[in-house]
Amino acid sequence: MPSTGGFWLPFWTIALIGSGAVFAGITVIVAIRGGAEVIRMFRRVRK
Amino acid sequence: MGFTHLDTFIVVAYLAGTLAVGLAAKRLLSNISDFLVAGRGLGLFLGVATLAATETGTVTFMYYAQLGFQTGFAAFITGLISGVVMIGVGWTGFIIHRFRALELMTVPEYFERKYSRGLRVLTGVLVATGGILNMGMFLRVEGSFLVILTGIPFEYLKLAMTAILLIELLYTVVGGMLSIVITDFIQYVALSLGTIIVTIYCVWRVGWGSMVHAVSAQMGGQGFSPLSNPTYGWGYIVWQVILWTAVNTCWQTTAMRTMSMKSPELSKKVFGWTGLIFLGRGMLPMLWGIAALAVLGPHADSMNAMPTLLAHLLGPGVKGLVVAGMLAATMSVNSSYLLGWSSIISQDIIGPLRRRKGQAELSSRTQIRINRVANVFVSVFILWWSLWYTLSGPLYLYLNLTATIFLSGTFAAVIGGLYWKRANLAGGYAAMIAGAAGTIGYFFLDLPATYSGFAAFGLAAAAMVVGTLLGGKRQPRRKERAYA
Repeated sequence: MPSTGGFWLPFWTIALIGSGAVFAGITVIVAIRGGAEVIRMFRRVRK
Repeated sequence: MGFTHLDTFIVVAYLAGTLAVGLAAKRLLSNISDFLVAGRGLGLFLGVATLAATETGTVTFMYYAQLGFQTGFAAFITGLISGVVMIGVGWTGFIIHRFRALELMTVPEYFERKYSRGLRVLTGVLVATGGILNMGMFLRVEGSFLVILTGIPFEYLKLAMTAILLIELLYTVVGGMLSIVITDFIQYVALSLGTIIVTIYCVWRVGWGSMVHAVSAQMGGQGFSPLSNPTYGWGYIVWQVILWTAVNTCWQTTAMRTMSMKSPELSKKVFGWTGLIFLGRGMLPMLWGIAALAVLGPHADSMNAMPTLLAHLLGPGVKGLVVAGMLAATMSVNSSYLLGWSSIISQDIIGPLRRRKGQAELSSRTQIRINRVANVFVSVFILWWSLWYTLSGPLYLYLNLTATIFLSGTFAAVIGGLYWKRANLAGGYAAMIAGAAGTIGYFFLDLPATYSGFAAFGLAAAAMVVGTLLGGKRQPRRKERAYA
């Protein structure tokens, strides 16, 4: 196989896995906590 | 595999749902502050969702995928910089902390407080010009994505673009920022799910080994190392760090989120969290572009390769979910951008010019009405520009340089104003004019984007210093003395 840039392929592999995991994790947290903030906003107005 | 009834149902249900929520949010709207900066009441997680959703559109996925297709894994450097710089801005509070403390609504508003009304108007004109030209390419790219993925014949592209524009115009004009942040939340969740699904499909169906092999075979080491790839190198890296710092602090739609937070401290936290999302926002779509290279080969159209791959790859139901997610991304970005650029026209050009003529301050209701008319004007222009303008190089660089028209000068004048006591009006004018002039090389002289981008930021900074030193001393205005 031709060159894979030496240090760069493992570096990008770790960066990609890390960023993907963080992206998915924050999506879950924001979905739950942000949803609660939206509900509180609507409730405040209803009062 | 075509777009099935199940896919169509998912997309229509999603659009109807978000529209209903956007209209319901209209009840929360009471004045111009609610309309433009959501009454400055956003908490951490809603702030993160709305900031991430605003800056992540179908156009984002398309230009990052194009970079991945054209330059392989080396493109990841761009995604890495965008995330790391944003985390740094959140950590230090550079500019954003002071901006939020000043309780502004737009970036040029700061220029009137610090410098003069005339400079605010000039900045408003440059911000609106660069911002609208930047947004001008969105519709064509988004339309192409949807047409390819849904299997609609290409002759309906213009119709698809118009439909996208009308839907986003509807709920931007009706609800303003409060509607946008609430629909942004739904859209953030939908676009994140779409991103995760597509990434899993690319790795599962195309395979990591095939992607590495395709890049290695087509580009060799340059497909992995951003230092040896001719598109990148150290010059590009330094320019991107400066550019992303300017985007995160002075870009109108991002700044509007900063100004919408409950407190300056909270705006720092929001940037730190969103920076983590930005790492994936950059790298994951680049991986889709690399997957397209592995499947379609190097001769495919670089811009349309990613949606073409997804049209082949995704099954029924999944395709509907992804199109809904991408529509979500499109709506959140375009509605915020429409609001952002039209607010510049109403707040920073029309308003100050009226005051200069000695006319009375406009009521909140009239300001909202002017904003809505500006929304329609901007929409018509970007539809025309999308159809008329032909893109020659990578979309990412076009977007960078249209933004640089105003970001270079704004960044220099904001840093000068906030962190340098001697900064004065002459420096502010010089920075704005020199920064805009620096981009001429890219648009009219075919200079490489890195040179032109560097020139714009360098000229703006030099002009700020020289203009200030030649312009003499000036006592800062009372309102922002604490930050002068």
